Amino acid sequence: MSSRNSKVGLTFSLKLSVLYALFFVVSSGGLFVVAYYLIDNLIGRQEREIVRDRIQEYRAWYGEGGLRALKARFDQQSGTAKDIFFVRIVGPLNQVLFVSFPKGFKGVDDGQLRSVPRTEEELWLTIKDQAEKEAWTIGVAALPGGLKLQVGKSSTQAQELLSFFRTVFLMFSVPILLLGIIGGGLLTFRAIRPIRHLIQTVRDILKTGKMSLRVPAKGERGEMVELVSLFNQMLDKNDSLIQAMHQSLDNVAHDLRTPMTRLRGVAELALQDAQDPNACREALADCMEESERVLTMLNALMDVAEAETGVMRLEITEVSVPEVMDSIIDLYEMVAEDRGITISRSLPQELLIRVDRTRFQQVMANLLDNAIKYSGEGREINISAQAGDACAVISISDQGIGIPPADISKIWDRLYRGDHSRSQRGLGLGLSFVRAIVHAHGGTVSVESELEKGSSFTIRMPVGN
Amino acid sequence: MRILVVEDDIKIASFISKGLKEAGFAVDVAHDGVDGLHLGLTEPYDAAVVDIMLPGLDGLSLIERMRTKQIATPVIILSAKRSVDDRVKGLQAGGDDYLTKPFSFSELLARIHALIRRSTRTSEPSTLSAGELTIDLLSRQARRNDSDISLPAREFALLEYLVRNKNRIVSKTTILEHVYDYSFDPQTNVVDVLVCRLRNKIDRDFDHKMIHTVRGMGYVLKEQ
Repeated sequence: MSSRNSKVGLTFSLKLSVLYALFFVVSSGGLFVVAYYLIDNLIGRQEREIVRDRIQEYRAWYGEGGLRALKARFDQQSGTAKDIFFVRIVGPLNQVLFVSFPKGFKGVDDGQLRSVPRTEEELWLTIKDQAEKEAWTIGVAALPGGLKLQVGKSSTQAQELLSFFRTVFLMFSVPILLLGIIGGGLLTFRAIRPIRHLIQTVRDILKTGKMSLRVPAKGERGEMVELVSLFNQMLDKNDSLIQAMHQSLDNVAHDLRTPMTRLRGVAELALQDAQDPNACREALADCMEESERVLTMLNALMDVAEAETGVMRLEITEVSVPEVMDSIIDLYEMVAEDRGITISRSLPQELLIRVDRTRFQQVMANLLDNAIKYSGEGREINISAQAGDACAVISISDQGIGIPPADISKIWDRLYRGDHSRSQRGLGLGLSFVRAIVHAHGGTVSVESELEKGSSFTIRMPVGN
Repeated sequence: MRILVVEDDIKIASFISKGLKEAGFAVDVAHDGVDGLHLGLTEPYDAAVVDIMLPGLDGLSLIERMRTKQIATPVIILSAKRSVDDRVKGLQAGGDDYLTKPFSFSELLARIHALIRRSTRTSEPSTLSAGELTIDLLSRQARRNDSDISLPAREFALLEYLVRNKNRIVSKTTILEHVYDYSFDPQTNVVDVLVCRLRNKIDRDFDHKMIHTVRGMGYVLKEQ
């Protein structure tokens, strides 16, 4: 597994550096070809320009006095032109009428010159000897009377320049190639360094199980830093989720131990003293009640954990607040009546919110349950609902024992039970459940309380989505 | 009445089958899905109790195969999963009811009776009786030994539920579900209060008490 991963990393970086080197070499080669072509072109044009000047001059001479005048003027000329230029005049039948060539002129193949079509006004030829040591640029121009003037110039020097250029390039091509490969390698090495760190970190985490490891991000810039920091953030989140899971697992285990111990104790006692069938029945009934409690607690703990971690599935539908409140009041009315508590309500005709109906009912039932539990005889509980600013505001106020100011911040904690509430039946999960469910719906819950005067819980549920 | 129980946990299977036999049913037990399917396809049953997690063939597939063979035996699904999704899946597969583990036997029994009643479509009588007690479902009136007892709606609903399940223990949870249509447990004794009120009207003036509390399990209405 790990070797496969490193292979993938290697081939990727290899591919990247080869691509880089290739690109580097091809572009420098291309640059050279373009430069070579341009220089070649430039030199050729210059040579032709020089030859063309000559042709024009000779033409002018020929115009003054024909072939004879041209010959005379040519002989008069200083030696330089004679030494540089090849000049020949041929007649209509290709017979040579005049020829002059510089020293060292090894001869241009006559046939090549003869094959020149005669109709052409101006024609350029590049003629090279077999060893390609000598090259001539020859211009052909028509003279009056069907004659042809052929003027040539040695371009050997220019060719040598170009060949030097080629050699230089060939000499440089090896360092360029090396530069490309080394540059590509370095670039790739640097570019995928964060990825290597990433791979290494993930591998370490998988190997050691240490969720606290992070990818080092020093000296990195750009997108890679973002990738690394996002990855680290993800690790942070996973880490905290795992911690939270551990925490809640620990809590659940702890919370279940107490009732399980009671269950075990009751069963053990009954088994030790199995003579009295009535005592056995009592013990069994205790066991049933205790196991019922365990189950209720387990469900409540799971609900709180699910809602708090955000994995609870909510069946969101449009729910009428007054209707739910009426049904909750209906459920508790008799209990309240028995305790001499009156429940008054001020609910609007209609107030719709989008929530999970059952969960919302549970929240309200929990709050009303609390209000009844902590109210004395003859007290009143007021339930009200109204539309607020983009939310529904629902409050349940009692005139009960109230919450001591020191406890107010703790009432939402799981399994926290204030001194006053210990005497009451309950799991201590009600309010943490209420808060978790309300938060899972995007709502808020708040409390105002005065000791011996009563408490008022207010829930704000967002209207719509 | 014959019932098929498909459950791989030997203890649970035996406690279900023992309880059902005591309630007067004939019971066949299969400990894996393949056996269960075989029995379900070859023998006629009035109802089946099927666990979801089974070796061989899972409960949902078992029910689906029974349904594709046109076997309409009502099925109660047993599962340790309590999420709405699982419940919906079970009912979609062709189950008729869904019970989450752990469950009380009295609840299972009540549901089996309800399913059989529903599937045999015995015409609904307009009066039900239990010993000295008669209730009229149309006028919503109760009578005990010729004396009329008028009951508020909730108390009548509770009495009707108790009479329908006479001599069987019904749990507080099932009462909440049937009388209040509530599927969760409010911490305060809502049901106790309701039962207490009903008792005052049904039993207070009579020596023979009909409604009994079974500690740790619920309530029962006894004919005798």
